[in-house]
Amino acid sequence: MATQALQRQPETRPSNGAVERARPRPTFIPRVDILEGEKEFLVVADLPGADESSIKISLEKSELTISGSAQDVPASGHLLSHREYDVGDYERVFTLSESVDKAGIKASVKDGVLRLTLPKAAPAQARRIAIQAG
Amino acid sequence: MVARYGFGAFDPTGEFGRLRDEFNRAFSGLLPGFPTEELAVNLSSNPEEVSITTEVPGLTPDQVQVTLHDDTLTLQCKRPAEPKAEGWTYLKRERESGVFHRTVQLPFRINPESVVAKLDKGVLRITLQRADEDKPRQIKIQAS
Repeated sequence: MATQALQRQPETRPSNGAVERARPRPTFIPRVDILEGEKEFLVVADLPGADESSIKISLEKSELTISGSAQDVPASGHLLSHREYDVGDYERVFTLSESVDKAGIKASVKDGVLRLTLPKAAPAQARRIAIQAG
Repeated sequence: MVARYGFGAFDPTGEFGRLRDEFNRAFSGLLPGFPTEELAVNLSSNPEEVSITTEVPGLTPDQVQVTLHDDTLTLQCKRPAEPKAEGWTYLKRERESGVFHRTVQLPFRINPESVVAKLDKGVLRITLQRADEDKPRQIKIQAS
């Protein structure tokens, strides 16, 4: 098939024998844009089809995990006749550096796009040090 | 030969789609701005209607164009790049932007008044009803 636009990347993490999924659904790594501003970082992730209630953002130590799950239910009485993209779960893990203020992370979801704002921790912001006259 | 009717696998792009795909592959990169990115679609149907879905995260209805001509449905959308304010820099840029399009040949003729297109959570779903004159008719067998 031709290039799949807006496609998700299939999970590339090496499968760990200890982790087994309960449901036979594919997990995708959502595509993200990460931007850095003066006072914060912005993470924008595509999670098409994921319901707001299914989207979870968890932070454990410095590991930030975003996950969600999309449902693809054909209309009643319909049979799937042609499939070019798969529907499943999303998961991606980011490692945050010390420069992120972990308590100040904010998230919003709109039209299948998750936006995370990660403010920079105070010490990381540029500080001007006054030089005292000796 | 792929059957165009029925519930089995039919080829929504047809022979022309294959030619066009090859053309796009051959020329991608040569013609700047040439829309070569295709939207992936899923189709489901019953004898009376067909439903098409495609993923367009972040797009609003005014950024998506749906046109129907006879039994050919064309989707086109323009996805702007994430707006970058001054002083911001990209650390990672994986989300695609640009013009995306797709032409789908439908398994039957459509009643143009019946087409419903909805955007929900970044997924576009178009439902099209089969034209009345195209619906299969049951023929009664007369006893002799």
